[in-house]
Amino acid sequence: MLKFLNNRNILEDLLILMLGALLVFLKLTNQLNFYIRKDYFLFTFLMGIVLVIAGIIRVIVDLSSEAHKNINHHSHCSCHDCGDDCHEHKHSSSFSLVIICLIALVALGGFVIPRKPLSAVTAVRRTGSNTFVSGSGPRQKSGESTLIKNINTDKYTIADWIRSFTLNPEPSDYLNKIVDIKGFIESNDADSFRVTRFVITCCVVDATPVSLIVDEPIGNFQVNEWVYINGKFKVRVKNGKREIIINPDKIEKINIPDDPYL
Amino acid sequence: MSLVQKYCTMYPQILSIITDAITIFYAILIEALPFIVLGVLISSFLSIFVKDKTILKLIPKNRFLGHITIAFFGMLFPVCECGNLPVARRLIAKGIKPSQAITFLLAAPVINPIVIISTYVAFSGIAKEIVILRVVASYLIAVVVGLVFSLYKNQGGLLKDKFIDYCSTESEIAVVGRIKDKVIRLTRLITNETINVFSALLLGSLIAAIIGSFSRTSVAAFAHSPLTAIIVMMVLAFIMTICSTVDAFVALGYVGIFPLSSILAFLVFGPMIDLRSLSIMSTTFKTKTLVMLVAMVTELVVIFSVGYSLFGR
Repeated sequence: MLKFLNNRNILEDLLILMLGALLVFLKLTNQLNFYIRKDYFLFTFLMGIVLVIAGIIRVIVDLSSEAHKNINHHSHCSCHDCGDDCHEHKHSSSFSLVIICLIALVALGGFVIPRKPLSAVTAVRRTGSNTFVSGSGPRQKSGESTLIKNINTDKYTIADWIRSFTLNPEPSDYLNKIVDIKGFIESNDADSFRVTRFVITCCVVDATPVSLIVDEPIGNFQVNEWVYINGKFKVRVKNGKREIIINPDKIEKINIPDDPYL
Repeated sequence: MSLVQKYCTMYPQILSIITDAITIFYAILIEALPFIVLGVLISSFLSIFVKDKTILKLIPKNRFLGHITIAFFGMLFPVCECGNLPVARRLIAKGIKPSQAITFLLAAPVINPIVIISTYVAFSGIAKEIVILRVVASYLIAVVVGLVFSLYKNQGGLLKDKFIDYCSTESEIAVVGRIKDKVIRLTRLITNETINVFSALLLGSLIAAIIGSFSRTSVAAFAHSPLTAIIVMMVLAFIMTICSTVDAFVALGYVGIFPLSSILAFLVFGPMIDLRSLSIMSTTFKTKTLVMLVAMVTELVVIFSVGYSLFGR
């Protein structure tokens, strides 16, 4: 029973099939969103297909070669009889069973481990100079300020706001601008909390958090919970610095979005 | 606070660290695997459809010219660090010297159109010289390290015995035969090489995922002198294992915290040596070779970056 499991080559073939199927599965179930940037989805999917096709061909070849070997069990194999298949007979797996099992385990984990975006713990650990929670600095030329005020910011994400703050850090230019964002709660203090999203350039290895401050105690919400926030920007002065913060009208708990990274 | 209370408070945080490490681990594998397959595809096509002579004709026989030529091969195979190793293995099997393969492996992640363009896009507005210096430093270091290894008379001694055996069995099979046989052989190479490189990647990814969940910004405290900043950024590049096609954008996040000379070190060192590439290279080169490789690359990157901090910025 399951005699073919003794054939290391067939195990390798199944492993390739499994790795390819994992890439295809993650793409078709929209779960690549949790690991890599959208631009790589098609490429990842295509390479998954390549592995699946290679795996299927190998399984067929190795199974038929196994059957062939069984038929000629007591007779010598002649290259004239079997042609290039003899090369396939000569090939034996160079991988130990441990490595094969390890890769199989990792691939299996890829199917079954529940997917979660990076958490607030990593956000706190990765917070650096490229995380802007406030805007302060010299007033821009009047033309630039007017430009900011006239831009349609209805669909702005946290990352868009941060980019805007970098271009024009003058807090008063954002006064009463409507904010409509989703993010997770990264941390909180007595009277406010930070709502954060990760921005990825390639994959979550390079994920960088961007945050905005919400002027409201955390209340019944918890760190790591995803929230939808609607409100307006206001300016507060803290430690002698003017900061742009959100004055919320509505805060709602939401499920983790399909595309957790920006 | 009792130990139990402390444990209960810490528990969600520990759980988050573990789940984040798992996410990072899978992200590295899922991001790298397609590039490995692409590299394996290119290398398998080289193996089956291109004769050894054709490849060897492209490389001048002169030691110096051979190395400076192969450093440009990344322009022909722009497949990222993970994909380069299968190509390098195939090139060695086709007859190029291991020292030349080292030059190719070190140069190709930067000397390729995608990386040059992405570095230009990231740094053209801040410091254009970073783009030029990255390319020049990567090229020179790759050639110099390759030339040093070329002085080693027993070139086979740089390689693992297992890989030498693999090369000898591979070269038995000529680039002839029916298309059907070629396709079957192609699938075997894809299977074999993908598992080989992927299995080596597991350990590197695991270490990178564990270290990746630690704080990065706290290292800024070490940026008080150009030399320590350079070393810190090289260590970061080593553990972060970011693909060279996008590392320029990640490096942007450190501009202002670290001096530009250390940013340059990050951009030159990372694509050559990191946890992922080192674990993949271990399938082909002896540990002794890799130790020498890391030592030489580290020295040269430090010298180049310190030079930039003294005479540039």
